[in-house]
Amino acid sequence: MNEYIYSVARVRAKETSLLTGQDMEQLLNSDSFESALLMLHDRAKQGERDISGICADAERELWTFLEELAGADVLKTLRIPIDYHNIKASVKAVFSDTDASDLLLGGGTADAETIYESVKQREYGELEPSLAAVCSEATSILLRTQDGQLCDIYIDRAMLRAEEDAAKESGEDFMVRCARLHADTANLGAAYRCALSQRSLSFIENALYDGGSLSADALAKAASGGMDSLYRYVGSTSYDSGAAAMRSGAAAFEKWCADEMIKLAKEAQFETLSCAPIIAYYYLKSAEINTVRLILSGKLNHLDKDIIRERVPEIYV
Amino acid sequence: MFDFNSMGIVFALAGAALASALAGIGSAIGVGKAGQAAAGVVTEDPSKFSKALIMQLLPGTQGIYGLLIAFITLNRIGILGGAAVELSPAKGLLYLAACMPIAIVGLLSAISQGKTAAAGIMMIAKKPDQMSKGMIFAAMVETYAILALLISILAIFGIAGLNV
Repeated sequence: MNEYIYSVARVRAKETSLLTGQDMEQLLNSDSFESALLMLHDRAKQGERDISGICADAERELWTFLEELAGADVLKTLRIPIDYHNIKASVKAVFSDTDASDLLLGGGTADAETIYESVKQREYGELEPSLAAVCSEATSILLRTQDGQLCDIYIDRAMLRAEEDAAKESGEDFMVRCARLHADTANLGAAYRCALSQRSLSFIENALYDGGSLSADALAKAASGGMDSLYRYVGSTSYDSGAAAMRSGAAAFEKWCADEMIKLAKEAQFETLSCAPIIAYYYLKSAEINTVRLILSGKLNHLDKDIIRERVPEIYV
Repeated sequence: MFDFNSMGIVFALAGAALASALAGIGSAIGVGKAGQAAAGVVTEDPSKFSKALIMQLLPGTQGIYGLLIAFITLNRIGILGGAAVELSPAKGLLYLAACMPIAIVGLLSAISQGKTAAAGIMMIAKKPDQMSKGMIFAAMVETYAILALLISILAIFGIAGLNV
């Protein structure tokens, strides 16, 4: 087993710069968007003055840091969701003839612009075969059915499969657990939305990813039986707390999904030799970036702080 | 021609060599692991250099214990003075056996202490005021190296009085 002592020590030192629950509370309590920005500037030394700039800078810095800590084999699993996000954005932008540049993310295994150009030209030679196949099929689904949701379902399922496979290939147990949790929360989310919109069993079966630790068949059957049936099924699994979150509404459920990932990341705090703390740092920092984006967007749109707070996940530090 | 009766000094010397080599290897690995952690912390926060350095040194003691046992053994068998004493094979094997506690325990405890020191250094990265606790955790591993050192010393000094 590889040892990551140097990298984990850097992560431990870096973790002290993560925003704490108290920092998030201060951000939430700030009077205005400007005062939240000022507070963020003082605490996190953020120089940018707009939300996308702040988050893009933080994401760039995160990837630079991670690349110094671990090899491509470890980071591949973390990059896969970015690739598939870029595929989704590119396919939709090309189909609706809009500009995708604001939607594309850096940090994937393939360059975001290359994905976009490949989808636009329908020439996938520059992409890795697995990504090329997904781009081609997603474009074909959208052209054939004109149904964006079907296209999203196909891309999401391909992403979860690729993520779980890459995690297994990395040989890191913690990575496999993270990929499995991601698959489970994605499946629970899809089942929840399908049950809310009273979708048919065949639609739900098609929407769920056949992986993770939950049985996709049982989940699909439960979701097709309505909300109560779904709550009962989820309550009988290891994700019983998710059933309570679902009952409280979509925002509470989204928060629960983020909390579950943070809870898993927290387990890595007792590791000193494996790459688990590096992976955990990625999830914690990403959660921080998303939370800052959420709070600043809320402040910019003058939302009540209690409405924003409902969506803010538990913070690790 | 090979004469087994002259092998006493060889066994004794092998014991001294193993004590210094194995305990030294253990310390090198332990200090190396702690050093990697120290380098990681100092990369992000150079102000923690001195604290990390102190923690890094802790797994180095086993190498010193091994060296001490090797010196005592070499002195006892006369190799240090250049006039090797006549040793029976049994006595030579006794010296070899006496060196084993610090050789084996030194090797393994230094590696374990290196991991504990590395974890302590990571603790300093997040909570610098808890350094003394990190040192205590690493020092607990040291106990077993000291016990082995004690047994090796007692055995080496006890062998001289034996008539074998």
